[in-house]
This record gives sequence, C-alpha cells and structure tokens, in this order.
Amino acid sequence: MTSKKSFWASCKENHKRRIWVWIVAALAQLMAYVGGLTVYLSRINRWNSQGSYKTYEMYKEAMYQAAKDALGFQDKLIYILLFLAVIIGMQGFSYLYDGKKVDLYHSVPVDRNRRFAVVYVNGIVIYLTSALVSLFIGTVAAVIQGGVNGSVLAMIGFGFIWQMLFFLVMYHTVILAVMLSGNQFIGLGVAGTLVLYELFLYYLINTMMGVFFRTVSGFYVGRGPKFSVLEDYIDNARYIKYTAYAEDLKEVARLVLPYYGKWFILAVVILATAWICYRKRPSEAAGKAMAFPVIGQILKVVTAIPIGLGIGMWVHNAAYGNTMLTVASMVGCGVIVSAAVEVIFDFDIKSLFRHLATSGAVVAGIIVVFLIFKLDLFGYDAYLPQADKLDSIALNVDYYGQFWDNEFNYVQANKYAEEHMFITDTEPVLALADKSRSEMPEDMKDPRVFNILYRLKSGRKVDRRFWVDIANPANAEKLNRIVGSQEFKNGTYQILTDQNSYDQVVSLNYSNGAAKVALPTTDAQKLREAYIKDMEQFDFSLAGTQYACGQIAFQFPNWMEERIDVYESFEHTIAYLKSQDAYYPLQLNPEDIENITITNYHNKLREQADVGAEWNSVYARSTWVSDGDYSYEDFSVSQTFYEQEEFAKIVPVIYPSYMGYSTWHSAEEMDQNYDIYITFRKDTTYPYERGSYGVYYKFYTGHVPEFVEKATALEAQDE
Amino acid sequence: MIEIHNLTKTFDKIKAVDEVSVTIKDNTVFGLIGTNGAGKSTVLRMVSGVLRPDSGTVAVDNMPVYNNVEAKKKLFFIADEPYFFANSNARTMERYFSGIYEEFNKEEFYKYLEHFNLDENRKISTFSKGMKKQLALLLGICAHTKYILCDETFDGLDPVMRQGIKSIFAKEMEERGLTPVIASHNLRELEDICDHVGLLHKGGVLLSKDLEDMKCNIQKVQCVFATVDEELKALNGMEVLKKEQRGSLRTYTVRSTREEVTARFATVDTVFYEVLPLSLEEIFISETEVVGYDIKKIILG
Repeated sequence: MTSKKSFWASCKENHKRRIWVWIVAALAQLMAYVGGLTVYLSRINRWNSQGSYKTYEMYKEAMYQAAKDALGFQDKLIYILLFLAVIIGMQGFSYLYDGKKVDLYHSVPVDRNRRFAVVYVNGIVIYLTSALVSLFIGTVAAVIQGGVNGSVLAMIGFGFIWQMLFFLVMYHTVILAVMLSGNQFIGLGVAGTLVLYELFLYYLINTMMGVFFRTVSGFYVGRGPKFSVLEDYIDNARYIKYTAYAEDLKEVARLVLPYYGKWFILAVVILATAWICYRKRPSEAAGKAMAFPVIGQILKVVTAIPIGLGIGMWVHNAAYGNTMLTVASMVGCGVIVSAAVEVIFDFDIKSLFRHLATSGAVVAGIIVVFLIFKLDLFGYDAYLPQADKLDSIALNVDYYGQFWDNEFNYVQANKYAEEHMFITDTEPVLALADKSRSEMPEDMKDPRVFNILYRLKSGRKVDRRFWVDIANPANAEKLNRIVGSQEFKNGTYQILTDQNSYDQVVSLNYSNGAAKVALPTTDAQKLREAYIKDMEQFDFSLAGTQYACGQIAFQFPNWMEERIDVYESFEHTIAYLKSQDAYYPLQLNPEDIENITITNYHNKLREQADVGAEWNSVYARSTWVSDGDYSYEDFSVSQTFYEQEEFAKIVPVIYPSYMGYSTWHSAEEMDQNYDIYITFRKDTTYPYERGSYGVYYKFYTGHVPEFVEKATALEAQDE
Repeated sequence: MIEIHNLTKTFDKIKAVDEVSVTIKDNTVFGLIGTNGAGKSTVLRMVSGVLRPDSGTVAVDNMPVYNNVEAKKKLFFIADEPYFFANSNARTMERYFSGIYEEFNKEEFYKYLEHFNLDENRKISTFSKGMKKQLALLLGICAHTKYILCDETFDGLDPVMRQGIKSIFAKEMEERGLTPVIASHNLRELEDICDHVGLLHKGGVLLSKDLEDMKCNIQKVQCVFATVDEELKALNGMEVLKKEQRGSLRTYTVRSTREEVTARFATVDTVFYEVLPLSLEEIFISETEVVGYDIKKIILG
C-alpha cells in the first residue's frame, strides 16, 4: 500500500483489516464443500450399510459421484459465491462510502491505482485461499473415504475454475456497483440491478410478446439473456451435476469451456469499467447516493420503465387484459418508482418530485414501449420473409414426442427441429403463414400451431408461429408437401436419422393399445430400417385419414422413450412384427373379453350446469363430486356389458385411449363423452398387459351403438 | 511552499470554494480562518489531494498534488474528524503510518505519547475527542512531513495540550522547517500560533496577511487631549480606522507603525496617551471593516 513497501507487503497490511472477511469466506466455503461432502458420503455409507449397493463397484461409483457433486459442480454453491462476492467486494472498497476514511486513504502518499490493485487482489486472495483450503480439506476427506479418482479430481478442477470465474464476474460487478454508488444501501441496490437487470428485461419482453403478439413461437430464438452469468450458472451447473455429463470429462469440457471464455471476457470488461469509474469517481461522493449524478438519473429511467411495465403486465393479467387499467398501472407505477428513487437518492421525502424531466422520460418511455407492443408498431405479427431471402425452415407442429442427445439427455422438440430440420421447399410454409395472417384460430375448425424457424440466407434466424386449419381441404395439398417432405420427417422423427441410439435400446415392444408384446432389442436396427422404408409413404393425407394400428416403443438409457405409430399400410414394419408373432390387429376379438364397462359423462349437461343453466329435475338428481380442489356436478352413468353380442357391436367402433392423440387428427374424432373399459378374460391367451385389470378405449365419434346410449342415459340410471 | 491559484470547487451546484488564491510560505504557521461553510475544509482537502479541484491549481513545492505520491509525501492531513481503524490503538496506527511515511519517527512518537499521557495500547475508540486529536497531531508531527494540514484540530484541545503542541510545532519548525497549516473557525484559537492568516468567507479569500505585518501596521492608542486643536493636530494625515470616545478618553485604531504613532503623540499636548497591544480579533475587525465586512458577524458570531 505504501510507497516504500512491496505490493504484497501492502496486501498484507490491507489484509489485517480484512481478516474477518477471510474467516467468513473460509467458514462459508468449508460449510459448502466439506459440509456438503460429509452429508453426501454419510448418506452413501448409510445406504451401503442397508445393502443398497449390490457390488463394491457400485458403492465406489456412488462415492465418486458424491465427491463430484460436493466438490465439483455444486449447484447450490451459487448462493455462497454471490454472498462472498458481495461481502468481499463491498468490504474491500467500502472506504469509498465513508468521508473520514476517504480523507485518510486519499491524503496519504499512496497511488490510487495501487490502492485499487491492492484491495482488488486482496479480495481475490481471500476467495482463493478460503476456497482452496476448503477444497483441499474436502478432497483429503474424500480420499480417506475412498471417493476420489482421476476423473473426480478433474471434475473438481473444472468445477473450481467454473466457480472462480463466476465469482470473478460477480465480484467485479459488486466493485462496479460500489464505484457507481455513494453508500452501501444504494450500492447493494445497484449491484442487484446489474446482476438481475438483463434477466428481468428478457422476462418482461417475453411476457409482453406473449401477451400482445400472436405469432410468438416456442423456438425462443435470440430471446434469452446473453450476458447473465447467473442464468448460465443455474442452467449448467445443475445440468452437469445431474446428467451423464458428470461421467464424461470431454463432454464437460466441451460444455464449460465456452462459458469459461465468455465469463472471463465479461469479468475483464466489468473490471475495466469499474476501474475507469474508480479513476473518475470524485472523493466527495462518499455518503451520497450516487457517485455520478447523471448515472443516478440513467439508473432511475432504466429501472423505473421496466418495473412500471412489469407491474402493468401483472395488472393486465389480473384485470383480464383491460387496457385502461394496464396503462394506468404502468404509468402510475413508473411515477411511483421514479419518486421512490429520488427519495432514496436524497434520503428526503421532499425530493419526491425532483428531476421531473427524467420522471417524464420514464412515463414517456413506458407509454412508448407499451404502444410498440400493443399496436405492434414494428410489425412483429405481420412478419413474413421473402422467399428469395429464405434459406430453409424448421417447424414443429404440436408434437409431443421425446427427443434426446448423444447422452440420452432430454432435448426439446423445438430444439431438435432447429438442429435437424431444414425444409427447402419453403413455398407451402410461406403460403400457409401468409394465409394465417388474415385468419384467427378461433374461426378455424381444427387449428394446429406451427412453430416456425426461418433461416435466412443472411444467417439470421427468425422464429414465429401461425395456425393452420387442418380440417380445411384447401390446405391439404400444402400440408402434404410439408409433412411428406423428408426434411420435415427428419426433424420430427428421430428414428429416421439417429442410427447410433438404436444400438443401445434397453427394451422394445409393440402394442395395439391392448396387447403388448416384447421384441428382441437386438432387432432394433432391423425394425428401424423397416420403419424408415414405410415412412417414405408418410404424409398429411396418410396421417390425417388413417389411425395408427399400433405403436412401437423403444426404451433407451436414462429413461428416454420413443413411441412411433404403425399404420396398416406400413407393410415392412408389419411384416417384421408378424415374423415375431407380435402383430395383433387393432380390433379386439370379443371372445377374449370378460366384460366392458362404459361410462357416459354427459359432458353437455355438465357444461350447462357449470355455466348456471336452469335447475330442473334432471340436474336435481345429480350429485356433487369433489375432484381435488374442484367440485363439480357428476352426471356420469356407468354400465357394464357382459354379452358377446354386445361386445361384437362395440369392438369395431372403439379405439385405444393409449394411442388416442394424434397431431393430424381432431380430438373430436373420438367421442370424449364416453370411457370404455375392457376387462379381458383371465383364461385368454391374448397378450394384454398382465397385472393390469384392463384397457381404456374411446368410441369413434358418431359410432356409439344405440344400446350403449340407452343403457348409459341418465334416465336409465333412474330406473 | 504551497501555492494555491484560483482554486474553485463546487458541490451540488453550491460553490464551496470560489477562486481562492493563497501562498503558504515555508516555515510559517498558516492559519486559515472562516466560519463553518466558508470553505476551509474543502481548501485543505484539495491541498492534501483528497479532492480534485474543478478549476485552479494547487502546487506543493511546485508539484501538483492530486494523485501525486511525491507531493503527498510532503503532506500530512488531519481531518476535522480523523479516522482510526476499528479496534485500533496508537501502536496500530503508528505501524500503519510508519509503513507509509518513510521519515516516520517511531521513537519520537512513543516519547510524545508518554509525554501526553496517551496509552499506546488503549483502544482509540475509548479516547475522548480531544485525545483523538492529540493522537492525530502526534502521528502527523512524527510523520516528519514538511507540511501538516490541521482541520479544526486545535478546537477542543485544553490550554495545556495546546501549549504542548505549540511548543512541538516550534521545535519542529526550528529543527526541520515544518510548516503547519491550521484551519479554524475560531480566531482566538489561532492568535498565539499563527504567523500568517488567510481569511475565508463564502468560499473566497477576504484577506491573507502576515500577522506581524498586520500587528505592526495597526496601532491602538488611548489618550486624553488637552484641547480639540491638539487632537486635530495629532491625527492630521494619519489613517484612522476606528474611533471610540468615552468622556474625554479617546481610543483610536490607526494604520501606522508604533514608532510613528509614538513620535506623533509626543509632539502634541496630551493629558495622557498610551499605545496598546492589539488582539488578532481587533486587527481583523479593523481590517475587514475597511473592506466593508462586519467581522464580528463572520467569525466571532
């Protein structure tokens, strides 16, 4: 710190007044690392003593995993790192908040840059030494317990750098906050704003887009925070810890190294900004609200506008979209926040209406932003790329299939489509998107949401969504071109492109909704090849006119499952299934059935009762049923049928609920009024899933046999 | 020498110091007088390099002071409320300052502590306000800087301590050319210490003069003249700054040397006359009244 002392001697001198911070840091990290490890290991030892681990290798593996979890990428460490960044950063530079201390430190013959460097480096030393000591003790404890190998050590190393860089970004942010503010209270507020601002802004923007724009898609391209290390940390630390990533160091490195680079650059940029502010910061800022009054006003505007908008959006939701209330609450909240900021800055209630110009800017900003969204001034919903500027398209149509990556970790359908679907025949997609601009989904007979990702030749990606009425015959030709294209299929059905996964199938079976037959997993590739051939004929016409006659379920590691529809025209697949005696027709044989119980819910009556229709004799006989928190009047009537004759009339007109949902069929094609429960005979050889009592079915709409309608009518129950 | 030239500093649109120009000569005790809010502390903070001036310059031995380690090595600033580390004692502070100021004299420091009955191991937080100021002064003196800047440091010190510090100042001035700069709102506090006084008022310098010059050039005379003609004769051509009359006893404050006044009054017929010593307060009253200020309102309240 001094002109005659070495840098490290200066650090030592400074450290004398920061010992308590070191103690707090060391205790916090000891608690996190060593405490965490102790809890994990003792749990594993307890389970081991209870015989939970069948082999010694399993026990060892659990120990390794525990050490990785506790000492490597410990997700909960984020709270401790944030706490340490605040306490180390604030305490180190808090002298700038105190005029008496500033008088001393700025009058002595010590270069200001050196003082900054000493306090800064001392903070790093406090973090590093406390972390390394804690990690060392934790590692030694893990070694003694036999929970450390090379992989564990590498994970500890990766985790340590991960946490160190996160700490650095946060530490630098806190230092920047100190440089911008004049007292601790405001400093904490500025630090919180800097850390959370981008997250809040993106949350707000996404909320407003979702409310005011109808074409917001689920692709979320470019709508996530770019700089928020908080988001990066939360998303990834847990991911690494709880997935197979923890097993593969190369994968861990591939995932975290870009973050290391990004965080390091961020840390350097924030530190440089903090240092510039330190150089510019006037000593007289001590004790004031903000070190630079102009930044205080900027801060007021940039916080009051989003807070006002955020509160307004909350009111918008609570007030069912009332525009007047929304605007009033946005503006009112903006004014209140502006006034509150002034009061906080001046510590004087009389300052409520100071700096009216910036308060006016807040109100104007809120109104402008609201109008941009409300009136869609930038034409978000009207966007349609020009065909000649479009490179390819990815789309996802209400598909809930499961997708996975190389490590069998879950991948979102949109993400999968983004990575695997490159439709170059863009004309039908653009035509449907264009048509959708003038059609409301509520006016469509059977609308489907198309989440679209436009890849422009410029490299830019734009995502939107639109609705297509699949029941409108005018759309059929275009839908055929889209759904029938190989590009669409490749991005929708993982089985078509992902060969490797099918070498690792854990279990394989075929079901027609009732019968369930296991297939040899060694045939997975063979079955896949047959299915790929059959999928060549798949298009909208096939999917929209036929119902699947069965489903093949592939089970992969990490509980990943894929279910693919089999249609009666899929001759290759069915030929394979027949070769395995696994193919069972969709229609059940009445001789296998013990009885059929049909419940008629009388949904229309229930809906009428729900909206307060007139109370009459029919309603009077109903009963109140509690379903969780919701009570409703129960009009259901159940009837069980035992006669073969009745079975023969029922089985041709029912479809398994298990396979009931299809993207390309309307839900109304199945009669939602009825549930059909089939109980199979105990002596049947039909391979229904043993252990279950039966299977649920639905009637095709308009095909309910008359005797069933009569038997389940309300009057029938009265009798 | 500390040269302050057109120094200006504004806080929140309020001009705390307005184009102040003062020269502090080496080996003198410079008193900076002014009411609360006159700008004394701000000037001292700018001189010590704590604050950056909005405009104007401060040069310590021809070196700019702001963020200049070499210039700051020549200064020790004692704020009106000096800061001591939490839970520290005199020994802790000595270690800190002796690490910073190369010339810090530890032996002298502990000798002075003993002399002033300050316990080196006692927590400073348990010291009285006066004891803290004494400690700050001793640290400053023992830092062996050329300049020691004291902001209201003497206010509240008891007469014995003041006398003690004053004699240390005198010794240090004689031995190594120490130049103390003492800011105070109380004129009487500085009367027996300062060689040169600068009077600050509303951020500006009202006057800056050597005390001896002021004392030599302003005289107070009490006399009873034999006749009115004798009075006119005595005062003819003499600049009278102030005149008071009680019966036939006249009291004049005149701008002149003691010798001139004595010689003039010896030639006229007086019943009685006597040249009286002027207090610093009286000199200031006389000087500032001339330029249109009521010093009693400015400093003496």
